Amino acid sequence: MLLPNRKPPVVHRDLALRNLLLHKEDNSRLLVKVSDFGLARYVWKSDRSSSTGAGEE
Amino acid sequence: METIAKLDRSTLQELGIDKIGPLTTLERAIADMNRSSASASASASASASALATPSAEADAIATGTLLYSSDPNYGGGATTYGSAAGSGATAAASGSKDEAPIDGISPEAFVADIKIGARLGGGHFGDVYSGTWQDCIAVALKRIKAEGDKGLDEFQAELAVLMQQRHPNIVTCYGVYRRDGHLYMVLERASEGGLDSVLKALSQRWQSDLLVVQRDLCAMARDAARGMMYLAEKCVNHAQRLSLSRDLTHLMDATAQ
Repeated sequence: MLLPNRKPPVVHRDLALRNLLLHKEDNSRLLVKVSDFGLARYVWKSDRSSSTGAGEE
Repeated sequence: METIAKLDRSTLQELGIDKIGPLTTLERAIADMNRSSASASASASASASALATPSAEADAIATGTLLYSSDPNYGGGATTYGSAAGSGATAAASGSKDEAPIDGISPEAFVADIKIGARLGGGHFGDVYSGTWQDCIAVALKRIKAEGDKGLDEFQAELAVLMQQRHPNIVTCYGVYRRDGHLYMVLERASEGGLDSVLKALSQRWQSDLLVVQRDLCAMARDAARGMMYLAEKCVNHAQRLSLSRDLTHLMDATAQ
């Protein structure tokens, strides 16, 4: 099932410590940012767990 | 195959994400994803029962706040990021005027006025350089080795995904920069670098105060979870959560040695 009128979710596929960056903001708060989307893809199905890969459309 | 391509193209336009450039790269990315989705779904359903819901997982780790603000206004942050990217779009096109266009990358994605600094690191894709954009914005420049390289496919796929994301916990992509036959992805620069090296340093320095470290780790894990939840939105994505929980375990182990 495709998802009309909505931004598709993204699978990152390469989540690891080296791809999480730490940034110190001007107010010295720390913020972690997810990085490196070279392997990331859009996901077009709303619920994979119920379809278990049966249909492609 | 032809019908699938048509379906994807119309859906992209309906979603309004066809503005990055020619759709060929996105269509290829979707084809890749469809190929890999069958195996991913199988493993996902097997692990589904063992995992909590995404929100419960995020709540469970949203406790430690020592160096973090108690509850930063993420909505406001997102607005700032959006406007920064918008100014990037207005500065566009001048970087590419003297060279041939690249298939899959729209001229609007190019930014100019970049100063390239020291090399920060590298990976299989190429090197990452420090830089400044418009003399004031700290950026990281991710360079692929050569424009004709295989890395261009991955570069375009990454660009297609990253240009659509606006969130404080996702690295912002300002655009593409081109110089001397090299393509650079212009990314927000995180001041402290990768968490793997940060945690290694922390584990040596803060051994005597493990409680403090663990509070910060919780906040870091919460941030990472927020970013991943933004990417996943309402989509149930078990494979990703499994990967995330494994990384959180690594976070905790890093200080306990």
